[in-house]
Amino acid sequence: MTDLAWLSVRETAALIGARKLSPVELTDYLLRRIERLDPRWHAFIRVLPEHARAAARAAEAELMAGGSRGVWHGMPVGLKDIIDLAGVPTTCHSKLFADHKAAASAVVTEKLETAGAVVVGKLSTHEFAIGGPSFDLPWPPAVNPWGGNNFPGGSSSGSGVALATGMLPAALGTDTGGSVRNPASMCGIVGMKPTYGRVSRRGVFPLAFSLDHVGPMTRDVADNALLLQLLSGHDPLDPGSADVPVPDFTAGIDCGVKGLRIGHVRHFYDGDETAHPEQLAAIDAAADLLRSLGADVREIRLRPLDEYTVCNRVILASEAFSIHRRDLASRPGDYGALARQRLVGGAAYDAADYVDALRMRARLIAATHEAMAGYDAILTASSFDPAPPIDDAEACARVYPRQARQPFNVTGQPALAMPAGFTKDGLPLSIQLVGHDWQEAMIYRIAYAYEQAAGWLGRRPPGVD
Amino acid sequence: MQDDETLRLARRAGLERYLADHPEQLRAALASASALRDRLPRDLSPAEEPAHVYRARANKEQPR
Repeated sequence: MTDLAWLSVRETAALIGARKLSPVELTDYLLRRIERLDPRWHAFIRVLPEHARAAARAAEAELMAGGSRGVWHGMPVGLKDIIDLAGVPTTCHSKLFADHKAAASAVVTEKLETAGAVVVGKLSTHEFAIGGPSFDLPWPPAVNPWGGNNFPGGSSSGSGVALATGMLPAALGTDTGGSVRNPASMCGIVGMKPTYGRVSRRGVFPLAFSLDHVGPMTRDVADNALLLQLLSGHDPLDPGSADVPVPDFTAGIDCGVKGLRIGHVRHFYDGDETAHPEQLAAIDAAADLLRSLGADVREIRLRPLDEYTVCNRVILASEAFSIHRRDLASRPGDYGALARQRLVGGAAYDAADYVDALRMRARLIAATHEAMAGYDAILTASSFDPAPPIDDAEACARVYPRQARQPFNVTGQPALAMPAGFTKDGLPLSIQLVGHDWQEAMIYRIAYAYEQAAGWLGRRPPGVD
Repeated sequence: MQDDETLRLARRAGLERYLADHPEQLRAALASASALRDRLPRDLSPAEEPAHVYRARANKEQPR
């Protein structure tokens, strides 16, 4: 039965659709697996066995009556615990929200449940999606199974760990400065930050309004495209949501990369900063592999990484402080130390600083579009380092900001992180692929071609069975 | 960051309790944030507007 844990969404859906796998059996199997494994890896804030079994039974009854809602019918999924599920606390991994029961489900949760998915639980995050890894909160931080005791990245850390340990086949994360792509990179899975406005954020606790994105996290590229398909669409009640067409993200996924032009942004990780040598070599090897598949990969330059970082951090700190100001003023001791310190920085900025950062943002967006003109996508780094030990606070603090994800929260472009090999010590390495606005399908096409040729798919963390 | 500047910012933001309970954290956070502010561009022309992320509603929802 172990193999059930590692099936793709597509494989699982095929078995359910053919009546060879019962949603109830699958859910029970994963609940038992979570009960056995999660005390070690801490991916879950809250497991929802009754809710999950009821949803699985409903999905099965509908199937037995001849109805099917498609790929997600009977599929177990998890939600980062800043995403609302009606009637269940959304804790944000914080003492402040320990009893904060959601009155209604988030739009993305509704989409999942309407499609027949089975929400199995709420997943660990960094406190309020910013402070972690922390050991002074009501719940422990999620631990990366790669390496046995390593940082899983964040803030969608439980989502990454649940996938990497085979406890779930798909999960949702959120990304404000890289929080889907960081755990994807550290945990050896696939995470997409879609174009700003592609996926509704209504019912998701905000970190920074103008930088927040909800994104799909899966073990492979095609599953990721399927999940984004489900999540996408205009929400007139989300002021950041865009009324744009949603294409079929899997239609051209296997068209290959021959003739595509890919801009290779090396200076982010070999110039502006210097990535770990094994990470640097992995990205260069990915560029070579894409060339061998027929892509025209050429080095291009964007603005210096530091400019995007400053812009992201001033906007994020200002917006986050606006959200947390009252609680930081009245009950600062209820935050964990890391979130308390990271959330208060916005108090240093005045209105003109925030506006200047937004003006800088417009400048960076224009410069990035100009540099990408004539190219179908960008290849660059996601993380600059492999995952450090989670109990080494200095190492985590050192590697956490060493990344090239923030630029694409600033620009709002779609960006995907995916596995690109392993260090000699067996820790995941990664690449990041970035597209033009609304061109997620192009990213999936390139990512799928790379995934199929590279041969990293299917690796599992040692000791997790 | 000087103590008087920390105190000024804390008062402006209503963070007196934070300052009393976690003074070193507040000083460190404000100093780090201030360093970022100093790296914002100072050559922005008056024509350079802020990035607008909020999107206009569809025409059908606008008043006639």
